[in-house]
Amino acid sequence: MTQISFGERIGRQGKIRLGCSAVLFDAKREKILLTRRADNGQWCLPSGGVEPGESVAEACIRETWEETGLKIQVERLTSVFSSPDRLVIYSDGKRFQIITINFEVSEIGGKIGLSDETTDIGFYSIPEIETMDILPHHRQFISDTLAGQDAAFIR
Amino acid sequence: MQPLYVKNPTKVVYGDRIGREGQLRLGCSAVLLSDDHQTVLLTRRTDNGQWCLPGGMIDPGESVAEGCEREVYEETGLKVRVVRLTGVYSNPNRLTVYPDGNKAFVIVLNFEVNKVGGELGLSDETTDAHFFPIAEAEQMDLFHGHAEHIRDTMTKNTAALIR
Repeated sequence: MTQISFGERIGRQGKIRLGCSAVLFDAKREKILLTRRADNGQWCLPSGGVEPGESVAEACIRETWEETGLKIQVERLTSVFSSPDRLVIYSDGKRFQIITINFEVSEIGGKIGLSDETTDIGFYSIPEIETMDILPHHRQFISDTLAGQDAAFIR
Repeated sequence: MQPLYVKNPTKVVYGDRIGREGQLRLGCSAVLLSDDHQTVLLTRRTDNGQWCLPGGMIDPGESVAEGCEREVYEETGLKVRVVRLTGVYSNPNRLTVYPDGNKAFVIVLNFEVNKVGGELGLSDETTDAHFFPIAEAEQMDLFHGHAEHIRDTMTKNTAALIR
């Protein structure tokens, strides 16, 4: 199982990896798409690693499609999360400081469904999300997106 | 007199999805404008003599803003603070090839920065550093496509561009 450790400058113990995540609102812009991870039961935004040879927007589109079945397009970059005090340790022992770029995206097609990596999926309201066990920096991305600020948050 | 450059400098090559051949690395570059906003700071690389924006790779254990501020200080002696993220550059058709043969798909975050201290000087990685008129810098053949970063910064879009 993937473990996350926190500590001052703990990111030094890992390598840098670049990820992306997506905030997708429903048609009324009242609810946000979340998935529940199979490996630890936590809720999260559609997200994953950027691969060599794809742009960050392409990575976001691919990960959202793989995890939710929805086709999306990227609308804007809301935040870069790069806390050096967080280390992700995978089951194979590899360690990473993951730097994540969050995008607001819009749906252009597809059909919502589960993947091998998810056990639940749906659109949830802000009050509902407040009570859910969600990855902390994804909660931050949601609030950054709701802030409606043009400039990207640099975190 | 032209400085002597190393025979096998870092190269940037272009081709359809050629980025797939490299390991993904995350870099940063910095646009520092003079107080009158008429000129932009460029440095000249030791290895190939090409001009570029100050910048480099983000190291584990630092935030992207810290990485950018550290690289500018190491390369120019200037202390800066990140003001805004102007864009992310992730062209899949570009590959960076290092002298040792290692290949990287480098994704770059470009920041506009403000000077907060320090004195402009040189480092091991730079043979020259000075402020160029913006119109001139935007047209130069800067390393790793940095001229686009300058043009994008000068549009004064508040939102970060996704490239």
